[in-house]
Amino acid sequence: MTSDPGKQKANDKLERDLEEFRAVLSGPGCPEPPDLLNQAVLNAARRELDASGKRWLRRFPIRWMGAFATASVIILALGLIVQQEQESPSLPGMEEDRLKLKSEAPLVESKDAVEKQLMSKSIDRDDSAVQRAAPMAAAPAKTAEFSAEEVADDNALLEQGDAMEGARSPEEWIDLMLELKSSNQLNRLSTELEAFRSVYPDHPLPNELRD
Amino acid sequence: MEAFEHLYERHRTGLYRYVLRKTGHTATANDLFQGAWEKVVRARAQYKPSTPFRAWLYRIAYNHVVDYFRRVQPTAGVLEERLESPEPGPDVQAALVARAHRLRMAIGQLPEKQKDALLLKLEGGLDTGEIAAVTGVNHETAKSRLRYATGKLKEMLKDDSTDTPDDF
Repeated sequence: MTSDPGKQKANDKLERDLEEFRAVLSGPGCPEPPDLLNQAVLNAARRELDASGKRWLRRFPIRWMGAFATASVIILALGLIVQQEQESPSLPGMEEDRLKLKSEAPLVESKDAVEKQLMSKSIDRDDSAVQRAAPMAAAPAKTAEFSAEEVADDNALLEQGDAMEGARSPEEWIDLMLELKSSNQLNRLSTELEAFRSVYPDHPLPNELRD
Repeated sequence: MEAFEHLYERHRTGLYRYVLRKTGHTATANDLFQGAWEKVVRARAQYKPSTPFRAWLYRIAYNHVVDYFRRVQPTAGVLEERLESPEPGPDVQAALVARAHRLRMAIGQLPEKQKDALLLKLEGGLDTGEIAAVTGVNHETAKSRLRYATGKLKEMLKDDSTDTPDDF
């Protein structure tokens, strides 16, 4: 404890005195907490522990259980959606139906456009329509011997024709098909012919295209 | 709950005596004793196992009693102890009982700080370092209070060897 012998002696004497007092105090007649008090303390402690447990249980569901449940439902729903999309079977004919639906949509639009165009033509044949139709009308006059530039121009024209398909009149369409035949693009011609018949089933075709 | 019961069983007697000696009034001591244990239960999350439970328990009880004395007259308990302390009856001849009674009376006469240190030592079983920590003083001050308290007690008991406790 300490290196000073005097202090050490004083400490020892203090400890002896205290030990003597302790022995006297803990002897007969020493008070004990009454049984009722013991029971009261233990009951209070039990109540406090139970209450704190219930408080924790009350706090936890309100703050976390609701959030956990919501998050779980959302994650489950998203997982099911993703899984369904991944596992959706590609039934035969489904792709064709989808393509057909895609191809029919512009046709319906094209019918409306054609009607509008016919109305406008019958009322007022403006110069822009004539100018747009002029190169197409001149195309059949050309011979089968096209230069590379001319073929490129024709392709661009065809692409333009595709883009304008929605608003194409029967005459323009027939001119385009005649042009395709003259340039020997038979595959494209058959496609255009089929589309033409589906849009204008009763429109007469020229003899060159009936073959 | 079992852990609490175990701790209660081990420390209940010492803590009860400490509170009873400190207040000098049985009913008040009962209330403070129960209140101290309730504080222990409520503050259980703050207990650090690295520190002795005994010191932590007595720190809570000490503060609880100090709070009580801040609210009431600090000398009330001593007067009540004199009035309520059971005098050994004529049939109780054991010298030890009488001596213990005189010692309790003498302890009740000590200054509060010395009484705190002495009761924490005698009833709580705390060492000087723990007493210093509980009462918020340094080690030497705690030891000095113990020394003064012991000296006064010896002097009082020597003078009182033939007198009644009420003559303190």
